[in-house]
Amino acid sequence: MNRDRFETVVSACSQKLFNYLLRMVRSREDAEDLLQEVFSAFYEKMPKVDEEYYESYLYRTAHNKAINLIKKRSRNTELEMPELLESSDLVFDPEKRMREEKNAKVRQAIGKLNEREASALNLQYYDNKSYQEIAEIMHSTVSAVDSLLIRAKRKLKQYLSQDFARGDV
Amino acid sequence: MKCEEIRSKLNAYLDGELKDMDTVRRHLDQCEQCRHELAELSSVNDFLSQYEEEPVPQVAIARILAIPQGKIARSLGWFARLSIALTAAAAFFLGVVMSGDMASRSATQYTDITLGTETLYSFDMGGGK
Repeated sequence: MNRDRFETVVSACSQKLFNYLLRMVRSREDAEDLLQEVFSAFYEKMPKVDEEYYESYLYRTAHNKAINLIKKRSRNTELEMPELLESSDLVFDPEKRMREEKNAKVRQAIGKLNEREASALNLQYYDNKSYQEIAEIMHSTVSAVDSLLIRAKRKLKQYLSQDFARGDV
Repeated sequence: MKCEEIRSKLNAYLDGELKDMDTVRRHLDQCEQCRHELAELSSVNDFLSQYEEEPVPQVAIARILAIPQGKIARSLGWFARLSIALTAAAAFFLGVVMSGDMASRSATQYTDITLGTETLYSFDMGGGK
């Protein structure tokens, strides 16, 4: 049954996709909205997609939606990157607060990359995708993904060395 | 291989994506500068590893799990509209037939069902003399 299968996929993939989107768009509200859009698109396409390509379809949709939102923000200054606000429970829960502080630093560093570099890095490092899988998700080639990742790591290295020098990291 | 060429492969080496790992490994054994470059790339990975996955808020999960209901409701809405239209059309036909039956039971054998000025259907009412 479609609905049962849908729920299984949501349970298996929602956390990874949410965190991918969160690192990309750096706003919980936007990440939640995009996650819903991704699964809504997936539910409609599900009968036509082979089960082995479910995850790939989900990541491709998430990647496209994140890139579109980031481009839209850069075109429209009113939609500028919102600051990640801590909810009240994060403030009072020390464990969550510490996690949020670390995560915010990482997201801030990834925010220094352009959207394609950020997506490739997220997919490779956090979602354990191979260069080939990343190329398929991003409609690109393996060598282009390789170049994106090299540039991403070099930029991060430079950013971190500046921050290490300032003692921020 | 020159250092420059090796350095362009170090990230793929670190990610385990290089076909020829041995060539890079042999170079690294002999080249301190490239080893330093590799260590710097590793430190970027160490920094990235600080990120701890966040759970998806329950509200968001609930919204996602409601997607099938929303789609079904939408499709039922369309179906309901069609059903209403068909029922109304059937009622209209039945009404015309009944009134035609009453009026022509003693007059004609055949009755035309009309909508406005257009004749839609003509059939035996079975009531003529």
